[in-house]
Amino acid sequence: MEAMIATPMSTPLGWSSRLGQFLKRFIFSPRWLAILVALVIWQLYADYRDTRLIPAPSRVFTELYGIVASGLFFTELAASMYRIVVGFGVALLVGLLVGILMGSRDSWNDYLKDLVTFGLAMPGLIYALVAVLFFGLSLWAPVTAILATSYPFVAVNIREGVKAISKELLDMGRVYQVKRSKVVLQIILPSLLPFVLAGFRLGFAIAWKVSTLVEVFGAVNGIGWQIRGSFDEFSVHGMLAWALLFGLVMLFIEYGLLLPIERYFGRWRPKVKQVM
Amino acid sequence: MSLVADTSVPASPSTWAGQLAESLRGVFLHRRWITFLVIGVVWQVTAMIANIGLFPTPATVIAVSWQYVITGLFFSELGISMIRIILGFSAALLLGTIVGILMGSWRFWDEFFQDFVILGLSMPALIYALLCVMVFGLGLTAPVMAIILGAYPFVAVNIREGVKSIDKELLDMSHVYAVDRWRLVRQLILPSLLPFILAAIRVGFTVAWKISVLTEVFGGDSGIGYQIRVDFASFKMRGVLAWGILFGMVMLTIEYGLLLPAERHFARWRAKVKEVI
Repeated sequence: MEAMIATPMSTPLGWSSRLGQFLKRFIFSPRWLAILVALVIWQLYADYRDTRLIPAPSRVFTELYGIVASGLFFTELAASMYRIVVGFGVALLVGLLVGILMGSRDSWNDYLKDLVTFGLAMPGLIYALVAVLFFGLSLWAPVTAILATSYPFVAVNIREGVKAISKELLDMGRVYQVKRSKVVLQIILPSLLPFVLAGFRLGFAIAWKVSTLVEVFGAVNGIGWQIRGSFDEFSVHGMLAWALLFGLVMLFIEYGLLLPIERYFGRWRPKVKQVM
Repeated sequence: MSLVADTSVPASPSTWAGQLAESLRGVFLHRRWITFLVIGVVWQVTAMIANIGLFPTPATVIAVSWQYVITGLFFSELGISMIRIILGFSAALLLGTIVGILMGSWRFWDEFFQDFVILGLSMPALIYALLCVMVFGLGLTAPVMAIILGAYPFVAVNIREGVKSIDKELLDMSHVYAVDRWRLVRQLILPSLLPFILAAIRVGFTVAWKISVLTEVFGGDSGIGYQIRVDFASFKMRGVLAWGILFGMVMLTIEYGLLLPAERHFARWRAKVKEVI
């Protein structure tokens, strides 16, 4: 939503009236109506079915508040985050390497294309199950599963990025005998960066989901493990509370952190593909 | 590395036999086989050195996959999963198209649905699978509902982009020239929407397929997901891997053999078709 006030250059308004406009748009946005409608339908359906399996929204929010207030949420989030950061760090490295190889040499593209395609098509579930069977409860299980699932997404993006580097600029750099470091810093890196960030964003979302799956099948802490616990206790309200928290963290990381960074570094490009 | 029979610059032999031989050579002498060979050998050797029951050799995994295929188990389970996926995905497609058209046409509906669609995109399929299994039990409702919930946002986002990309000037022009409504829909709206619908089907179907398997893992008495669960529960790693490979093959066949060609065919008039691999 912040983008709404940052873009209109044509209206030279003071920051206070722009803020006023933004607040007005925000407060009168139809989104609140949508949330209200959803809550009412949910409440009515819960009253109508009247079973423990369909909890009223108030019950879910009390549970959610309890999880956050007791600090349980933060310890579990930290446990999950640790796995994701280690696993995704490795996946990013491998993806970068594979992507650069595939983008710059046709022969490597031929060697690795099938592997990457197959990696994109296999469900995270298989990797999660195999990793849990093989490595048990150790850190290796989530790291391997995350590596296997998310490196293809990074690699595909990097490959496109390497291919998109302007050959003419490189040729010109050679003709004018531009220093190697300058070529890397001023031609290669700037045109690669948006693709690296896109790969980072996509891969991270995948890593996060697979890590949760691994925790469901073999872990003793983490958000996935909590979801599994709620499932085993038939506590729908617990699961919904954890799911909502999970969604909120994802949204925060994606729209609050990664997407703005991506837009910032891609701002010199004429078209940054924008899916919501 | 002189195996480069890649058909990038074919010498174009005149006879059909020569062309056939040329393309066959292109397939069989392709570099990709080196990768498979290297991976197969490394895997086989590691498994033989490790020599624990848990870590199967590629030969075992392929033998198990073959077993599943020739006993017919694979096809019967695939059929069961497919029915669930097709039912659920049809409903998701319908819902997603309606939401997407609303979001693309009116600003009000765009803001109305935006939060739900974004939240839906970022929630893991696992949540929908577990939730629907708990609420709807073992019947057909659980996978169908999980697929609808998980796949409709992907459809909606694509359709929304499609509606937004319809050329406003062409619409204005047909308005000025009083083109009748039917012709407008058939010759302007549908053709520019079609590539987006097909992209929506492709992405949404992949998601639907994965959610369906997850649902079967947690609450099903049949289907591919259930079989994966059975093998996992009995620590049969070769079984899990075999199902994974079969699953991947089916996905690849549907995506690259069916959906992507259809998408390319209908989008061929467009200047740039985004091509990821």
